[in-house]
Amino acid sequence: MEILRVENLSKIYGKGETAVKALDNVSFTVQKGEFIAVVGPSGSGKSTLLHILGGVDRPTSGKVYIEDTDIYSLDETRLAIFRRRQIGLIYQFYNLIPVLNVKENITLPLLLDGRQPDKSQLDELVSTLGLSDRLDYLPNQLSGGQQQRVSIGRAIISNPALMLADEPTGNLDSKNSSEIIGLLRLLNQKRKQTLIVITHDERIALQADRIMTIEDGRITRDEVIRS
Amino acid sequence: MNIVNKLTWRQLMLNKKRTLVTVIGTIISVAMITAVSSLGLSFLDMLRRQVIAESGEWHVLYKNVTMDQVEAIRKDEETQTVILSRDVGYALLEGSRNPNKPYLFIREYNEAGFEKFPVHLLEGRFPAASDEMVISRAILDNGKVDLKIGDTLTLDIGRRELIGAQERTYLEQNASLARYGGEVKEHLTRESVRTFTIVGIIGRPEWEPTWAPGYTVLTFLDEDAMANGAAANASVILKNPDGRLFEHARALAKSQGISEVSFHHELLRYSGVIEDDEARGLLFNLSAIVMTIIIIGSVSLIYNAFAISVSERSKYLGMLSSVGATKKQKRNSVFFEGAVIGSVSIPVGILAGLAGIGLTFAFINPVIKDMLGISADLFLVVSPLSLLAAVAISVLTIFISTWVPARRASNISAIEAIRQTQDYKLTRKAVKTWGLTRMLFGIEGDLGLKNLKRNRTKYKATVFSLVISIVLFLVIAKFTSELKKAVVMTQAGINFDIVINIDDASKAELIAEDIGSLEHIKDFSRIDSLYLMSPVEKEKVPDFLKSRVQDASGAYAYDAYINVLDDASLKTFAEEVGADFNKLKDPSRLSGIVIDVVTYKDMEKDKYVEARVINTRVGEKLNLAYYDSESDSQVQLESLEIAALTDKVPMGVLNLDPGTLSVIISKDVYDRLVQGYDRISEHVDVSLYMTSDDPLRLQEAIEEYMINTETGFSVYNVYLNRQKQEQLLLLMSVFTYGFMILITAICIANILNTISTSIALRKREFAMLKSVGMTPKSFNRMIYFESIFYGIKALLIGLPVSFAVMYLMFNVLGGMFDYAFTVPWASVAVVIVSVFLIVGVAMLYSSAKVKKENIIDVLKQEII
Amino acid sequence: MLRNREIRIILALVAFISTAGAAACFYISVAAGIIASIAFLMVILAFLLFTRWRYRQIHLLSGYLRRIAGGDYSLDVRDNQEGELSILKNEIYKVTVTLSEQASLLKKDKQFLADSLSDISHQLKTPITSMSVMAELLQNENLPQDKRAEFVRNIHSQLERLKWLVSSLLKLSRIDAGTIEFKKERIRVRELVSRAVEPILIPMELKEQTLEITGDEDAELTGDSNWTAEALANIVKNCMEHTPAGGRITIAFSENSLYTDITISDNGEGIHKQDLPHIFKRFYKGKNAHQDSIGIGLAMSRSIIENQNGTIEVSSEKGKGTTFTVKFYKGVV
Repeated sequence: MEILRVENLSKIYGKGETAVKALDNVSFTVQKGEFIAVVGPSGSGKSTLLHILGGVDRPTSGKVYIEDTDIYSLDETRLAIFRRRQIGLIYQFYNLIPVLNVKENITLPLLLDGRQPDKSQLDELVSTLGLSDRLDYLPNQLSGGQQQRVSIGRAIISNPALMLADEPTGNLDSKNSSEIIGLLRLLNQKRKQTLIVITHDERIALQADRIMTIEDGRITRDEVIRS
Repeated sequence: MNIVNKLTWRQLMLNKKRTLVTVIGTIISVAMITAVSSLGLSFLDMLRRQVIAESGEWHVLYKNVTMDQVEAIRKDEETQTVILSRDVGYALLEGSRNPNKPYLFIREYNEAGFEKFPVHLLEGRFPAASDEMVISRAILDNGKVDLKIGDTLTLDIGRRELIGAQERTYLEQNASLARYGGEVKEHLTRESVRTFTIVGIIGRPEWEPTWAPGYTVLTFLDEDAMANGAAANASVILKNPDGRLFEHARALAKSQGISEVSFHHELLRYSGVIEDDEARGLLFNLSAIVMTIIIIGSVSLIYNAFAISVSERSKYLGMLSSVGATKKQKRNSVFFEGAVIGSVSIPVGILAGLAGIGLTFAFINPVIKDMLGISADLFLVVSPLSLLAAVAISVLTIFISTWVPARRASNISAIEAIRQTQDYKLTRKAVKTWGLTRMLFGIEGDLGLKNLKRNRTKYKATVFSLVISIVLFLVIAKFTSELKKAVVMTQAGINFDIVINIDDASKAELIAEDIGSLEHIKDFSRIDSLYLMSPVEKEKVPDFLKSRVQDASGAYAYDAYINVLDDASLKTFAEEVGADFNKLKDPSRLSGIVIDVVTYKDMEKDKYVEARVINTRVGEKLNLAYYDSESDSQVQLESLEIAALTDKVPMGVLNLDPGTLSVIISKDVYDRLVQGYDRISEHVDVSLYMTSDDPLRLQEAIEEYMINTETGFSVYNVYLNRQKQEQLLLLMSVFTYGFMILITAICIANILNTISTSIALRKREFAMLKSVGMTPKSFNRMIYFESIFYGIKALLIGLPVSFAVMYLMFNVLGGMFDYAFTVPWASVAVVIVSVFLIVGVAMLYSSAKVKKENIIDVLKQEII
Repeated sequence: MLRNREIRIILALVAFISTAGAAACFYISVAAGIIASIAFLMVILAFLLFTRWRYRQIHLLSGYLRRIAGGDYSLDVRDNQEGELSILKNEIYKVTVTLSEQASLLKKDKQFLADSLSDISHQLKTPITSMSVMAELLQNENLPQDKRAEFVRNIHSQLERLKWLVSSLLKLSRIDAGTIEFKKERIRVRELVSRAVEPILIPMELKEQTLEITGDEDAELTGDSNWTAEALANIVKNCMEHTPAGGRITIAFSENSLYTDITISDNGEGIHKQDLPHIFKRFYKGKNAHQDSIGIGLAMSRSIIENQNGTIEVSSEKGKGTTFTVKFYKGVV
């Protein structure tokens, strides 16, 4: 089942002579349950692509369909609600809300929807994340790995159609990195969670079903390594 | 400059905007302190000069002192100058056309007297010998007596003695010419004869009451020629007037056997010397409250200005320590920053403050002169002490504002400081909110509240600024209204400029008509008044009055002070108190307005008291009776229906006695009431009351009318007293409201700054919230909640504090006045609306600023 | 709408309260009564309109669900708005997606079953054919004794193989069908590994291979010790088979807050890159699979591990060796 379709996506920063083409006519599709690693040198447009897929940055031209919804045809409010329900974003620097505790950070997308999380579901999730005894902690009381796990929890809580991660292990030591990789892989396998991860970490890349290489805003390689 | 200071300097230059904000904040604060202190000093100085212009520059007055005693006073170490003066007496002014001013009033001054008392020489010179004199110009202008310099007058000098009094009664300058039934009831005694040569002409002295019967002439007091035992008044200018002068002066008087000592309280008050313990306490308390508020306000402002850069600074300090700076070096860096900012902003602040006040004075001087006719100008008075205080306060505050964060910054590790700019101390408890918040306001409200709580210092600083503004506004509003009330109470209902009493009722009609058509009259009313009695039932009398209104037979009866108003005045008054004018005019059912609230001075408690004097209702009857002296019996009149009860007083009606009921009726009702009792009308006094846009000119016109028609009546011009109080009130208002506006403006700047900085610091977080799907609407909700919570918190603290301060102030003032404490609800409403307005504007401004940011641009700015 | 009992009840209640309120207002003054009556009527009207709208939405949703039940998964009801109704729509959509996915999985499963059956029959056919040939040959009474003995041995071994195949397939099918109850006990990983390697210690010794076991002695995992030991044993056996004589097999294990992992690595021939994604598939035979291999051991290991909330991954480099990573997660996703 097709979960994501990208058509002729371009993103140009700046104007006139100083314009930089961050994405140049990119098209591809992603099936449900795929685990895609996006690799490429810095400045190649990986992050831009991810942000556009995540609905936080607007493309200059082209379309993004997530579960058949043209996300950039939505107005700002609907796009926000769409993000809340259909997209999970994970950043290198966790970007947790410092004033909310672990539980609130994880359930933030639900809270924004005015929902209460299902208790048993939440319990399962936090035990998978290994955060059961940290629910009341504030982000600054957690280690980097724990914070990243919280942000994974936040990304998965609403069962999003698409989970996007930008260098999720970029800021972590090797032990924490492998935990995070393991978690992502687990979510992908067990929940058939569609996952697109930008990474420089070859361990993640090797876990993926498909590796996409971006150079100068174009997809230069796209190979399925397992199916 | 060592390397750390150099770095700090660079850092300051690098963050120009932030540095500028801090510098401006500090400048404003220093300017405020400077401005407030010089404003206060300048006002005091102006009032002092005004007093000197009105009643002369002297501090202590020893009355009736002999030359020996004067010598002793002169020798006293505190004495600077001794002014001698003596009231010689009255002499008939031949040819005076003003029937109310038939005399010359002769006063002697020594040389210092002419110098230090407010005497304006218009022509010629001051007298230098006891046979020379200067005359008041009013003799020529008002009395129409043709005198000129060089003329010689021989005068029989004596005292004013009342005719027909049982004991010998002498009258002074402040008693007008005694008349009764159109006839003069006083004459002059003859005590001495002196001859004077006129050597100069002076302006009418301000201390001469307008109704005084004698024109002032001044002559020279020759000390050498003063006979042994002859007494004069010695006014003394002291070298250093301070709190001890009262005791010292009394001691001196006692040792010299001087019986009477008095003090120039008004001048002393404006020089900061007050004897009365209670009054001094009052002044001290008030100025303590105001000073505390000023200092707290400015300290919070400076602190806030610095707090804005604290998180940035701690990052920078983290960087320093990561390259190996010691704690001491870091601390020095912070102090250096304080020193740099202080050395720029303190001098600039002082100059700005002085310039601001100077400009303000330049603006308001003509206004004050125009409106109040004050002769003294407002000058910018700068005392080195106040400047020093301003500098000291600013330096201290800068020191504290930098030291506290510096200490904190030097205690955290390098990486903590670099990585977590502000949240390294965030605890679960700090951001704990009630579950109710989320239930009521949703996650947005909860986030808003948590956002407030996360940064305690800044949150508190902002709330504190708001609280200060609230308290200031309310307290000042209350203070001004209290002051007005106090002034009104002490004025005891004087609400007119000039009053004319006509005791010859037969001529009243004509005079009233003629005078009423004169120029410069704003309001004019005629009141025929007489005293009747009003027997009442016991229950209607309030307890505190029971003993007072009980007559010998045990019955209760008020004095009823019946005031008959002319129709035009009555109509206005009836509208003002909500009574039906036509009903009041109806002679078939007698009705009148009763003033049931009276302000009087309770002699026992020495307090002004406002009280309800009769327990009755609209529609009830008021019994009236009069005492007929011929038959020696009480005659019952028809009773009067109460058409309205009020605490308002029509122009001219004076009521100072709680045992007297003032009743206002129409002419028609009066005529019906006294029908058949002709003897009553003999007791009627006719008074004409008027307010004027130029009372002095009006008085002249009236006097002219009197001269031309040769009718007799007395004229009182009370305008000057009234004017003085109004001046004081207006000045106070200008001062207090100006101060309030200043501090409120600063608070707004403060709040705008704090909120927008805190939002700028949280951009990443906002971007994060947006990226997990917070809609623009929710986002705005969050921001608005944040602002609303600021407002609520500030009001929750500010309002009770204001009430407490107001109550405190009320108690302080209540030492002199007795009335119920009222909450100024209108001001409270204004405060609530303005607080939300201010915070709302700040929030709109900042959310607009955040809205402009693209989510992604913010997310890209990763911190190391 | 009025079919709904709760609506009738609330309407009655509202009407009663309004009438009472209006009556009370009439009692105070006629004007107040009229105003109150109008206001109450308006409120009821607004309430009715709103309820009607909401029921309409519910009606639409139930229509939508009916179509999904009919197998139409292409509908999208999401409107991306705030509010409970929108959340409901969104959830329904997610369920639809899951359903449609399951439908396609089911299709795959059918295909898989057909493939499996053909695989199994193929696997069974070869030994059966050879056995029936040998049985026929055995019928020949002239067969020399030594030949006969060889055939019998051969049939024996084929039968053993069949027995093993059948029992393995049986196990596998039971695991896949979920009829096996995995015990949930705390197992010390150290003991588990010892049990798993026990049956292959002798073959290893024969091949002069060394076994190295390192790891945190306290490490534990939650699972069924018998099955898990079997799963590990299959992996170790695979390693042993693909590692030349004198090679080395390393088993390392550790536990962290998220999972317990066991890595089994060898320095053998490695797995071909093309084979790598497929080695856990049933009956898959790689390029250099053993003659006897039927490709069921690793498939069973995977089934056992994944059924116990674990994952198994493999990485390999041709000529340098292969590493299997088994992770048992603590939480359930």
